[in-house]
Order: sequence, then structure tokens, then C-alpha cells
Amino acid sequence: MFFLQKSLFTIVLSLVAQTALAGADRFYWDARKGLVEANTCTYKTYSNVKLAFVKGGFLQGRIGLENADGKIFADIDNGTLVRIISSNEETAKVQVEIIGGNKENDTDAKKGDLGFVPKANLRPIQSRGIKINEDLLGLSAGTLLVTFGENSYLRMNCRDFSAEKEYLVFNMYRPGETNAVQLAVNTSDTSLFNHISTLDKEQMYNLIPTIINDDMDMKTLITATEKLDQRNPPPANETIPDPDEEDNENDDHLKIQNGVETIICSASGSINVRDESLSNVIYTAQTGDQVKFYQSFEPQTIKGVINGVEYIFVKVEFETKAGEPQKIGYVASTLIKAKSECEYASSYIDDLLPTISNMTGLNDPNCCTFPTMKRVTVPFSSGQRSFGWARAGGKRVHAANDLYRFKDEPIRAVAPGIVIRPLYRFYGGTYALEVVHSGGFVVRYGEMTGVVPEGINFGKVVQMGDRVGYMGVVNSGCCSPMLHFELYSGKLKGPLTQFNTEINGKYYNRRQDLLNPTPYLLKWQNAQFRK
Amino acid sequence: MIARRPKSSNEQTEVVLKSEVKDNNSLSLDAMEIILKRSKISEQELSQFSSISAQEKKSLRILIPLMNDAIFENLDKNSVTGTLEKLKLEPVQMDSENPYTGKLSIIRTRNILPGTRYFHAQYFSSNNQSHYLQYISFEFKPGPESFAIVKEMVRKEFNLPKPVTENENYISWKKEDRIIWIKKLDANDLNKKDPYNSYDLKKDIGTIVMTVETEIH
Repeated sequence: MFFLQKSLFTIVLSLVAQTALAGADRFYWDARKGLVEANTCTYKTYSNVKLAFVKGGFLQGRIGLENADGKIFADIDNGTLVRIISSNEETAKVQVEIIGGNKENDTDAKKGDLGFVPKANLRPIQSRGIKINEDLLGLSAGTLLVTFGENSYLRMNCRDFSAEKEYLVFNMYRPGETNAVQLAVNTSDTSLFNHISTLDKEQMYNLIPTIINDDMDMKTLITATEKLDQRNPPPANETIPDPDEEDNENDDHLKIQNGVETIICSASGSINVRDESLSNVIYTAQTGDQVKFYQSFEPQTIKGVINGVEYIFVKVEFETKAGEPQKIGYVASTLIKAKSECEYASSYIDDLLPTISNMTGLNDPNCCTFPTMKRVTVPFSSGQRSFGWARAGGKRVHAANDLYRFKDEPIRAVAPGIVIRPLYRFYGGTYALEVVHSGGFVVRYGEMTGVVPEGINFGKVVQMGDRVGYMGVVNSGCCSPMLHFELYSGKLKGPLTQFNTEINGKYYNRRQDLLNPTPYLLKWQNAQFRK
Repeated sequence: MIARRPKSSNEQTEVVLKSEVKDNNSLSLDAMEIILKRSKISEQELSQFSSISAQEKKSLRILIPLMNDAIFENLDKNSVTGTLEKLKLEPVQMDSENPYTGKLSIIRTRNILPGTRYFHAQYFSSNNQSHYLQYISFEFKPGPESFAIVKEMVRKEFNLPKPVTENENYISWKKEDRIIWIKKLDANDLNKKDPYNSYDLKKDIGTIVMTVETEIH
């Protein structure tokens, strides 16, 4: 009987809340009342981090929750939501309360557990989204929450409050809806989060393609160089391998030495990466792992003796996924090479193109998809965005269509293909990437950010719609974020930028098999965004 | 012999090649002095920038003319690389070649001149074509006068007209078919994940990037 009454009460309250929802666009969460309209509340922003997500370590994506003595008593899964209690700058540890997460193993920390975690393992609330996994007052299971920017923390005062309260404001997406309303959650009342999953950017994008990436941009609310989970450091390989050690494996492939990246290059496969003291191994890296040198403005040489042998070490940053913090360590300099110089890490692109799909080219009925996630914000077939529009006072003309959308939105491969040129510096602080697509036509995807989608590199086979980059914006402040889309028939070979080449009486400064992408893009756009 | 085109008969324009000099240890100074003589800016003209050391000014007086020569005086790829070698900067060439869009060679250096870093040059070529320098850049250390000194030196060394865009953190000019821009990097810029450069997200705020690139858009 009690349960029936409770259910009826819940339904009534839920109906009341949903009725309110229909006419309002801002709510706050109350543990007893559910969603409450907050349009008449007054509020002001403040800066105080209260909630954060845990970033897992390299051991199965988990870190330990420590007690005051620094002993681990439970595991925390990557993406767990925590409330920040206090922070100790000296120890770089933060006391947290577990709010909710993805996994429910016996060894997991549970909701309400208090403990300490490294500050470096906390990520801002903007870094992930939250999925509510139960029906609540005025809310349905499947509701998604994502904070909408750096001013997400509010001090709010409503008619039925006795005093100002601190809230964190989310954009709330009800199941099946792509338009958001605002939901303020008191940072001391986390009943809303009893049963949740947390989602990374990619997962959120898949569920709500309309989310603008700015909503979820990692803000520098918590900044720290990543500190790795060192509870079980990988086995130390105390001998620095000789990079020129004989590789006994014969390779019958025709090698195209390729790659503008700098990588770990060792015949033995794996190597040790050390901390600044060089005495601690913080993880192992593999041949082919991409690294970037950290170059100082002053000449410096870091020497270390390993097993009686002196090596010069260099500081390097390892490749990380979008949104992840830096991953930095020290590696013997002899083990870092340009990919094109590393005989153990060549890539192959020969003969793959005919095998990746049946698409015969631009005129194939199944070709292609539009390269942005949504319809462009401004037509690309007119004005300065259009192909052939005058540039440089009429000395040349525009060789592309500019597709305006929002910064950091994914850029998608228009057809199956192979990445033949990974990101290189293009124009105004942006980057370009080149793909040869099924049937042989070539696309230069220009004015993208420097963020590389996972796995996108030289020789990578992409399917239609796969992410090949993210929309960038030039640093002069002149222009909107855009994809600069260049299309080539593929009948010619060689660099895409060329000079003194006339095409139909105009100077595009491009290879002569340049095509006007407009009719193709219009066709793909109409097919893709028909609704 | 690789040489660049003389600008005038009384200028020293030859780059000393490795094969022409037996004493490898003397190469660095020779190359440095030769380039310094070509600089349009004297050390005295830079005296107003008191927070920049003499060595750092020297670095700028080497790299900026080298970039000017590489772009506007058609100093070819081998000569640029050779000069970087002479300067003991340990240039490394990284190639990306494919049968469809030819070859991209990126030249970077393992060593630095004091106050500078991340030299980066992108050359495109195909089988029958000479190399084309599409992009070249380096970075200068953060500091109160860093943006101003680079701006002043680039303006004079490249003999530039009125800027196209200018604000307190950014300036750009157009010259022929090139854009020359200088930018002071802020925290957001450092977070953009450049595929080639690594940044300390705190210490490197204020780093100056100087770039010459093809007006490709």
C-alpha cells in the first residue's frame, strides 16, 4: 500500500513538474519536489569548483581511493563523478566524496565514500556528460546532462529559499530531444545522481549531435600535469635497447618510408619512460608511439646513467586522445626518430584503395556524405565562401567551398578512403589533411584544429562518415570557424598547391585537376539533411 | 655548390657548405657571422629592448633573415638545411610521400639558438618539381618585450608595408603571395594540441610564434 501511495505521489509530482516544464526553460532540482521552475530566481556566477570527474590511470582505467594515511582502500573507475571536499597543495591530493559512476564492482568505491585522490586525476565537470539511469520526479531515465561553459556555477536565490544556495547549471536533454533546457543542481544535493552513467565527448555527440563542442570544452578549472597511477608500475626494462639492433623479421612488403611524426623507434618493441629524476619508470612505450619533443628556450642536456651506461634523455609528450591531459616523460634520445627514419614502423598504402569499397567515385549513386555533422550555418555556394570567389584583389580565386559550422565540431570523411597526408600546418594556425577516396578522387580537408581523431594517420583506412578531424578557426580573427573543402578528380598527381596553373581561365594556385565541389556538396547536403 | 641569388654585388651571400670546410668545429661561428652580416638590423638598433639578452637578439638576427631568404630570396631546401647544420641546430627532415599528392618534407631542428625553439619548415615537391616552401616558423621565448622585438625585427628585415591586422597579441602582413604573422600564444592557444610542438601549459604562456606561409585560403 505504501508503495502504491508513493508511486501515485511520484506520478502526480511528475505530472506537475512536466506541466511546468512545458512553459519554462530553467529549473532547479529539489530532492523532494523534483524539477522546480526557476525562471524567476535571481542568480549570479561565482568561481568555485565543487564537482569533478575522475580520470582513470593506465591500469584498466582506474585509480585508487586513498585514506588519510595514503593507503588505497577502494578503486575508482574512469569517469566517476565526485564532490570536492578540500585540496592540499603540498601533497597535490584532493579529498573527495564519491557521487556516482559507471561500474559497480565489489572493489569499487561506493556513493558517499570519502577519500583522497591525486589532483592530477580530476577533470572538470565540463569534460564529460551525465546520463540519468532512473525515472525521477519530472525526469525520465535516459535524460542527459552536460554543463554549458565556464560560468556554470551559480549562486541562486528563489522565492522559497531562505538564503542563497550554490548551484551547478547543466544543459538538460530529455530522451529523444535535441533541444536543451537548463537544470540547476545544488552541489550539496546530489540525489539526482544516485544512478548515473558518465559519458565522454564522443558518446555525448553520438547521442546528441546538436551539442556544440564549446558546451563540453575542457576548461582550465583544474590544471595539473597528469600524474600516473603508480601502484603497479610496469616492469622496468633496465637496459636501453639499441635502436639499430638487428631486426630478424624479413619484410616482403614494398615499404614506403613515410611519416612526418616523431616516434619511439626501437627494435625491441617496448621501452621505459621515466620521470624527471630519471630514477622512476612511469610507464612503458611501444615502437611507433607518437611523441613530440618538448624543446626548451635554452640549450640543455639531461644525462642519466642506466646500468652504468650514460644516455642523453629528452623530454617528450606522448600522443593523447582529444580532451585528455598531457602525458609527459623522459626517454633516451637515441630511441626517438622521425617516422620516416624508423625502419620498424613503416606504413603501407600500396594497393589498398581498390579493396576498401565498391564505390566507383564521385558519380557513384552511393557517393557520398556531407563532411560536417549538421547543415552549414551560412550557404557555401555564394559570397566569399564559394568556389571561384576572388581572392588577393582578383589575382587568384578561391579553390574551395568554405563550410561554416562551429569550432571543434567533427569533420567526417565524405567517402571511404585512405589518409595519404596526416595533419600538416595549413593557414593561420590551422591544419589540413588529405584523403584519397574510393574511385581515386582526392579531398583536402583544410582549416581544421590540431587535434587528431584516434587512429587517423598516414595510411589509415576511413569509412564514409568517420571523423578525420575537427573544425578550426584561423588566428587572425577574420573569419568564422569553417571547413575549407578542396576537391580533386585524382587524374593528376603531385602536390595540391601549385602556381601559375590556369584552370578555365582562372588562377586557383592549385593542381589542374581541381574540381568545383559545389554541386557535389549540395547534393550530399540535401541527401544528408533532408528533414 | 649551392648558393643563393646575390641581392647586390657588395653583399656576402654565400652559405658555406659542409663539404667546403674541413674543420667542422668552426662551422657554427662561420655560418653565424655570415648571416649576422646579412641582417638589416644592427645590434645597436635593438638596444631599446633591454630585457632581451644579447645572445637572444643574436638568435633573432640569425633566424629572421634566414626565413626571409628562404621565402623571398629562393634559398633552396638544401641550402636552408645546410645552414641549419652549420649553425649546429641538427636539422631533421621528416618526409610524407604518397603516389597521389607527392611529397611533404618537414624540416625541424633538434637543437636551438638561445631564446628560440621549434623551427619548422614545410616543403612540397613531386618527382619532377623543385621544392616549394609553403610554411616556415619558429618560436621566441615569452617576455615583456618579446612580441615587440620580433615585430620590429620582422618588419624591418622583411621590409613590410602596413600590417593587415594588428592588435596587442597578433600582427599580420601580406607580401607577394605570402602571409607573415606573429602571435603571442595564450593559454587557449597552448591547449590546441599542435601535432608537432609540445607545450608547458603554464610556463609557455606568452610564447611568440613567427610564421611566414602561403596565402592558401
